[in-house]
Amino acid sequence: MIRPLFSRTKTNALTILEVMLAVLVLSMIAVAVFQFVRSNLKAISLSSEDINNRLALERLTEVVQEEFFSFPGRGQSTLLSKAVKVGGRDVDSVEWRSKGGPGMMTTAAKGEFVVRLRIRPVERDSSRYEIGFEREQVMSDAILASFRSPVSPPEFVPGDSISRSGKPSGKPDWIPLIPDAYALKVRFYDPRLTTEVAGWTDPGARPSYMRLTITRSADEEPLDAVISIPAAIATQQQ
Amino acid sequence: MIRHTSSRAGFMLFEAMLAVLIFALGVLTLGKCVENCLRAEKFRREEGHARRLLANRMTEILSNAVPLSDKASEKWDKGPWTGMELTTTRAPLELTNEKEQELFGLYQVTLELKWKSGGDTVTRDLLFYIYPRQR
Repeated sequence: MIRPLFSRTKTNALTILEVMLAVLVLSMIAVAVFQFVRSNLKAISLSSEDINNRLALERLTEVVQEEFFSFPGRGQSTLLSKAVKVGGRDVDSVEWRSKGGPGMMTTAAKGEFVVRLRIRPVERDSSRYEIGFEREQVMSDAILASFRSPVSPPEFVPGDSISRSGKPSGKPDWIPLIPDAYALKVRFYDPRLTTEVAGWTDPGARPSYMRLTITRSADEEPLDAVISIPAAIATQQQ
Repeated sequence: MIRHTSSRAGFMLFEAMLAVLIFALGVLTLGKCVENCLRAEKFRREEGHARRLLANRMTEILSNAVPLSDKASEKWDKGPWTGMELTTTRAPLELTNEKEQELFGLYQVTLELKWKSGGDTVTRDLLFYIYPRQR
């Protein structure tokens, strides 16, 4: 037999039990809605973080790729790289010479610069790292002009750029590109060895491609991007 | 919802059940919405990985770093590409020039990437032409 849960005969007012029950139901709904909203916000936050990570890699890849398009097909290459491991994490760097353009992040550069793509602490002794471009002037316009005919510019020597270029412009500046990075690994495909190698120190040769592997945090999967070096491919085709 | 007359007292449980049913349907719909959102997010993430994988492989092939055969498959079991299977197919292009002479050495490469997402098999293709170095 179906009977009413609450029966009143004398008064139409709500009993304390009914009020408590209503409040309980409302509280449950409020908690459920709160949990729902909170989990959604967390999902949105994780999603946008993931999108940012991916976009950061894509944009960096595009900038470096644009720079690599301008590499000359003949002569000495200015692409150099060092593979370093610190405390189990890769802190590789790669550098090239630029007179302005995508690899410099400006077309208004005066003189010639060495641009290094590297990972470094955000501040001195900080445990937080970031990836960016370090730009260092190695030749001013005046020095460059003095090298124009009949004397050819000096040969590019790895690690010796400042001493050969005359006066350095001072402290290199830093353009942060990817904040909160954990590791940067750079590998090159050597067509002579038909394998990927760590570091590139031979200015007489060009790798076929460069593989950039970026890890944002220790517990995250690394993302990698393969960047072609068109000058090297063109040379191989000849 | 609370009835005060004894003649209609039996109706109250039905009403309560109906209310609970409607509430449960609402919660289930909400849950389904969340599930769909999570699935869409997972798919978006996988799609991003797939695009990157295809782009990387295309660059490797264009750089002559990956030897090509007519058909080859590769499956990943770790890293961001876990569970993805890449099939590379190479086929000669049957093209002729303005003198109706056959053009040799040009190939069409198709990269087909398959993976399981939420019980469904998803496929993404990338098609491009190559002119391999004559060794």
